[in-house]
Amino acid sequence: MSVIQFDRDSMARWYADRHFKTDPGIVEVRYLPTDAPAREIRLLEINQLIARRDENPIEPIDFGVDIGAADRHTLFVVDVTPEQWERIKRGSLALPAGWSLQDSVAFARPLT
Amino acid sequence: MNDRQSRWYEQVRSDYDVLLLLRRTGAQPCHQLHYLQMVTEKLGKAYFWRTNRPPRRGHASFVRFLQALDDRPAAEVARIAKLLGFGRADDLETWIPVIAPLAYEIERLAPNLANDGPNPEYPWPSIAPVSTPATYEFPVWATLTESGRGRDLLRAIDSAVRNFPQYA
Repeated sequence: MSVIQFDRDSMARWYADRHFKTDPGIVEVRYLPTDAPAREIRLLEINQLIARRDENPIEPIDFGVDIGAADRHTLFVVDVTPEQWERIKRGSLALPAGWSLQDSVAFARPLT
Repeated sequence: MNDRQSRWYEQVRSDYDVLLLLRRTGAQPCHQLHYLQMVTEKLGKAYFWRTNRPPRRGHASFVRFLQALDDRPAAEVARIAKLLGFGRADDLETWIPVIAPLAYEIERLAPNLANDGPNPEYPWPSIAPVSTPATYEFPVWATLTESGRGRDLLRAIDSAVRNFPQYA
């Protein structure tokens, strides 16, 4: 019987690529593994098409993905505008509680 | 569909029924856009309750809702694509980026996201109104009703509302 191993880093890249493909507004995706539970994928997506929001703290969306038992995991995505992203980097806008930019991985839009 | 989703879905259906009523009676575009914006927002909220945890309080865009459907396992995406009126999963995936800018425009109609500009509910700008929704010609309305892309989106929203229990 084959066992599917959950590879969080690969899954994060896979989701990022899909989101790049389906949303022309996304300019960069950040994968934030630090302090995340083992089966939780945290993505921060910088999107130039979303409306400017005054959310503070900003809130993630739980995508509710439910891939089969061996691969079960959760996907949380935070949407921010480029302006909010600049504020996050400067430290004037907080990430959701428990989220960290430490050792985050930047995914660029794949070349088409 | 869990109980919480059911409560949200009841509201989506009710809002959508009002939208259809407005459409049949030829109501001003502002009223139809108002209900369209609410339907898409609440549909997303209803969907994201599938985890049984409260979705974020802010607006969850219709694009995010479609992406969340597209992130489901491949066999489910194929089934969902058919429920939304597409022949194959690939067709749904190709369509999402095409309608994304239009879907974001609908989202931005909500007064709290409209940046004190055109919205379907209140005259603007708020401190010295010079325009009112009832007489304003919304560009997004023309796109929705006069382009194939817009009508395609309306058809998909119709299918998404009617078939929600089958993919929630």
